[in-house]
Amino acid sequence: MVTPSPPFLPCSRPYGSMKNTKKYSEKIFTLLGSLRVSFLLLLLFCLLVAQRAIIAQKFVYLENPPWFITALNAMGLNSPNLLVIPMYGLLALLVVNLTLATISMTKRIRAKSHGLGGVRSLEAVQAMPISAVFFIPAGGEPLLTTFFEKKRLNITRESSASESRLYGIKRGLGRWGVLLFHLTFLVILAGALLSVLTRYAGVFDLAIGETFVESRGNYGAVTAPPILFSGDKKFQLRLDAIDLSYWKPGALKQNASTVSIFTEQGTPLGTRYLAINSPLRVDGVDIYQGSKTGFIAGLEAIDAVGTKAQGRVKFFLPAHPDEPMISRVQFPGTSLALDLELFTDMVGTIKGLEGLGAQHKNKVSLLKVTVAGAHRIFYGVLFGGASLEVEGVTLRFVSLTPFTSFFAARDYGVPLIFGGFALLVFGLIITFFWVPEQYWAVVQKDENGERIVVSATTERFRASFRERFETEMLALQTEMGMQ
Amino acid sequence: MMGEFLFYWFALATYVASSLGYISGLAFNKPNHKKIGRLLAITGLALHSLTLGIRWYQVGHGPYISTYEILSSTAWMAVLFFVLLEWRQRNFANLGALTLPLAFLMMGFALLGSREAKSLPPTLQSAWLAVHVVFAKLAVAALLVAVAMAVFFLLKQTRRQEEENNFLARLPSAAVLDDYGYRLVVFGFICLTVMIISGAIWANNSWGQYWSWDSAQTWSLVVWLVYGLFLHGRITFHWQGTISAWYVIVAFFFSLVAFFVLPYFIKGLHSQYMVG
Repeated sequence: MVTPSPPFLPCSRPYGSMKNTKKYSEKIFTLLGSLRVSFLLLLLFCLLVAQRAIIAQKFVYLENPPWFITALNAMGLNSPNLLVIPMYGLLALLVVNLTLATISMTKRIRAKSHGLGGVRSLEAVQAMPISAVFFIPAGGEPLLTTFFEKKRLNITRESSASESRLYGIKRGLGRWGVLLFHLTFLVILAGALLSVLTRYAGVFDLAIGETFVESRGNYGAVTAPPILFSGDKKFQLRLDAIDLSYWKPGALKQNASTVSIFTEQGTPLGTRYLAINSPLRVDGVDIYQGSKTGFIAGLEAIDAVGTKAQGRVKFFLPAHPDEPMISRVQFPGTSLALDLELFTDMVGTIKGLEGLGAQHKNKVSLLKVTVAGAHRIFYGVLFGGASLEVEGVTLRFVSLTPFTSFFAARDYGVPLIFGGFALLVFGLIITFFWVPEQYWAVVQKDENGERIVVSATTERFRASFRERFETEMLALQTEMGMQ
Repeated sequence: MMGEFLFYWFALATYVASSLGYISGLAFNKPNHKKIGRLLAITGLALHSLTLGIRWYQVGHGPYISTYEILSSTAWMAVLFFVLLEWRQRNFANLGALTLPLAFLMMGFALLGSREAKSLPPTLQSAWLAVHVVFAKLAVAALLVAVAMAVFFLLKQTRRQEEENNFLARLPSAAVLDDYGYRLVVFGFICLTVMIISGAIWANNSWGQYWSWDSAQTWSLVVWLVYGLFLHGRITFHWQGTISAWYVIVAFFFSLVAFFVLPYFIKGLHSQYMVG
């Protein structure tokens, strides 16, 4: 017989090397998706996060830090950006590992689901690590059926004249928990990526009656434009009222606001109340109540030649309202700088600070004016609506309005991340507390009676499962009248 | 405040008596002593609940702020956790010899902090606070009991079988201790996960940022990863027995430092409320 010649290969490489290449690529895929690699990646991730934790400590930058911090600093580990690239590299590897592990896990679980289920022979049941054997005169099968039913097992049965085989399973879907748990990391990482690509945030202040138009140029401070969806939303937000209250001076109770929302064209969308822990969502942008509040003083300045200028000076309400509210004003084009200290009975209108308002006996607002610099010169007191001449400039205190700050953020990754979080908890519970349990039983009948073999298996917490199985078998034995 | 303080002392004294019951029950193999210990633990828990309830009513918020409130409620959670575990698994009664003394020691330490009532700042007025704090306490309680299991496992391992004519013989088998330790770590890990997630959601609700690399937040993630590595190691490398027990002990020490020691030395979002 003539052996056929090997087929022609349209490739310069010998056939064997192609097989080897396939083998190597398979090996690489298996390695990259293996649990050992994921353990290693997790360990490295833990170390990188620990470095971030050390950076988060304020004592890293102390003048006289403890020796171990000095050593860490000497190694350059106090730089927050030092390990950013390794962190991103590691996360990329983790995504590869998770994806490949997910594929192999799916195959494994499917194989397990098909391979383990179903009734088994007496020898196979007896050979299992957790098993028990009984000999009774008769009636084993109905007792075993009741036992399986009590355990809420999904039962499969095969019977013949001499033998009955039973198989029961519960929480079979629990096998997919590990897969779900691993998939959630991919969801969270996808959310984090979306977050990086779309997030921007900014702060702005509003006095009562003022309106903010959502646009990058209108924020007091704003992050760099996002890579995706960087357009302005242009909705409008008008501050109608501030609801500030204190438990007592120095202990803030709530900081809230009432705002009116309008579309870009000015169509009203309604009035909303927002407070700390209760943000407002407008057109995909979350508006948060800021922590800074205070007063905006409207000032008018007229110089010697009659040039008039108007300006706004912001006074922040200090953490303890007993402390002074001071703001510095620099006059443009001159060296004149003034320190203004605000006294106002409006502080007394804030809930919880009524006592402080009473201290302002004049029941009016006034500014204590001091020329700033090396030699501070007290110039006098500027009452609301009145004027004061300072270094040739006539200063008029026109208005005083309360203001509050807001923080706006848009992040399309947040829903995905929070959804991933929920799935993570669900996956963990399924993986560890919805563990599949399988039971097998064979009843062999002959003229002497019945030989019963019961075995069981589970995927986790095997020692306590074995202990429970032994207790169950003792109870079963009692029921069979073998005590 | 006087009533609350009186009940606090009664609860503390009852826990001391309960500890004595469990210790003598274990040392002298007296099941009746353990029964008395159990009764006293439940009585102490009731008195402790009353204390916490009165304080909650008086200060207008749960036991979330200051060393006094945090340690007292953590001790309460540990005892509750133990009582429930013992109710489910009577052969774990001996763990009372470790849990109850730790509980009354925690209550003693709590008295070193200020008992002054503090009002809740607006950022803490959130339903997420309760979720965050309750799961933090559950995590600590579960991981603490897991440590007790690990210690008993190691003690049992070091004794030879013939030498086991002591209190160790009255504990469940080493394999079961290892298994329950693992279960408790899993439970603690899930609680830790919920704690971190609820903290992130709450932070997003308060400040518009779910993650800010704050000191306590970052250390929590490190602790989560440390326990995550443990669970991974149990599956990948089949860690069990001695290595698993030592890992649980070292990891708990690490989490104690991260959650209870560092806040006293590092200023951050958590330290101002935890330390008080």
